[in-house]
Amino acid sequence: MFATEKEMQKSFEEHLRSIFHDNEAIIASQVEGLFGVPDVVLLEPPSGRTAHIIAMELKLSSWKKALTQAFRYKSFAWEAYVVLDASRSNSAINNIAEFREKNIGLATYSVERSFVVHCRPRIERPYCIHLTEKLVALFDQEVAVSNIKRKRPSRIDGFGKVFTESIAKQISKYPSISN
Amino acid sequence: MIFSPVNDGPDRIMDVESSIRANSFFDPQFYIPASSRGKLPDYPFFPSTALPDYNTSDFETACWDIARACVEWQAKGNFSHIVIPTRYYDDLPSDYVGQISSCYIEPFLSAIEETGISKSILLTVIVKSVQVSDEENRNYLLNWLTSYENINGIYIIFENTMTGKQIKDPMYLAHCLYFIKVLKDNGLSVHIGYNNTEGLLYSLAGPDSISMGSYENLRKFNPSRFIEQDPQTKKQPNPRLYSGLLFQWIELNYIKAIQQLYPSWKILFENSRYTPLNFRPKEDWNLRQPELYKHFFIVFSKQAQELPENLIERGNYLRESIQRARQAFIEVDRSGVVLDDNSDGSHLSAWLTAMNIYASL
Repeated sequence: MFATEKEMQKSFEEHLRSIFHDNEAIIASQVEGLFGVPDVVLLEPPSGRTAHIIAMELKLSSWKKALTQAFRYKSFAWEAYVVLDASRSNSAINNIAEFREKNIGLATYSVERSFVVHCRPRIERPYCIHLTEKLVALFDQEVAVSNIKRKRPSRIDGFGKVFTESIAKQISKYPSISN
Repeated sequence: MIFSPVNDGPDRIMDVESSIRANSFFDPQFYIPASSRGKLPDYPFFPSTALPDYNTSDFETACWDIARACVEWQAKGNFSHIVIPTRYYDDLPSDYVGQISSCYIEPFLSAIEETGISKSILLTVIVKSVQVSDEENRNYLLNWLTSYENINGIYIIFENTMTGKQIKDPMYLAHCLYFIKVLKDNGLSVHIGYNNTEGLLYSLAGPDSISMGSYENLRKFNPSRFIEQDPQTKKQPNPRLYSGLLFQWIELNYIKAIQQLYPSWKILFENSRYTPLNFRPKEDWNLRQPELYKHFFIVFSKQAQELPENLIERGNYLRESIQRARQAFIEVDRSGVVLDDNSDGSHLSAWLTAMNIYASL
């Protein structure tokens, strides 16, 4: 099991980077200025208001708190997930109905780098589209789109790398992802 | 209304219609005597103005002149009461009562007597959580507050250091009600400042007035309001929309989700002429826009007016209203909206429990 959330987040981000090589998705962490501060945001390369955004809340075990936080992210993201430490996720999995009812995704992640989606949310238009636009604008400002097009990895303060494949599509495509 | 010198200078307050002044009082706000925040330095009797190098020992000497100037100014304003100010302590000194008596109460009572003013006199008191919750502390404070023959009423500020926007400690709330009731039973008028929606709950003990600020920093006492702050580091609260039905301020970013997921959302938000603006979809709210606060004023005033005069009826009415609010929160939750604990109804069960505890005290 992970000792801290920070350790879990670091491992999770590295894991995402190991899966997604090219520059079709952008990962950002601890994005401020929206509604709540998502631990991870995955974004298709900025394409105006239609950018597909997935926001994730990582927690070791406090799933109720994470659910509340993840719901906030639905104000700007098309999908919101709670990602828990796999070894401490039983309680959340036993309450998976709650996630379905609120249309929040539930996934687990382990120290062995196994990522499993237990509940995939329906893709929904964000509640506050102006926040989606704000996020996209933030990326537009911070990440030179030309960098993405030239397939040059970009690492700008507060943001992670540019990845080959959109995790948004990955998560939408597969009921569970594990390796 | 309570006039606030940190916000308004002397001329502006004196320019207010005399009929309004006659139904309001002036809070001298000596809470941080060394402060020079806002308009406080414009008042010649404010401690740090009267004593530019303010220190406690000089104040002990100067307090008599300061009290006289402050009393004369209040008398000139013809407010409803003469208010004896108090100062704020982070930690109560062991001789708290002695210090407040010698530096504030005695000089002010003396000044009032000397000037021959026949106005009702209010004593300001900041009541810390321990002075509410701990029986020995509470009784000591109540005994002291009820010991002055010339003081007609108490201007209470309950200071709580609890986190969160709402008070969710039923025992604390019940003892606040009890505190108010004891003062009332002793023939004192009671005016409570800096309330959030729990002010409606406090009305069950029959206080004479309850003031609720519109901005968040006026709905919970915080001494930092009287200390100079770097505007750069000042954090703006998130905009919220008040629902009278729910007795709660809902963070504005939730409103769109509620509208989308809860078909009966319109019943949650009362109408005022500012309501349509509150639902403007694309705007990022700027707190300088006053509509949210004006909406609250209108809705809350109506709520306060609807409280029955009779305290038993008021209790029944409030109990039913709280139950209705809880039911509405359950329905909102069932619709798929997940509100955080600063927007949800978790304070309401504490209110109901507090009512039950208070009834048994």
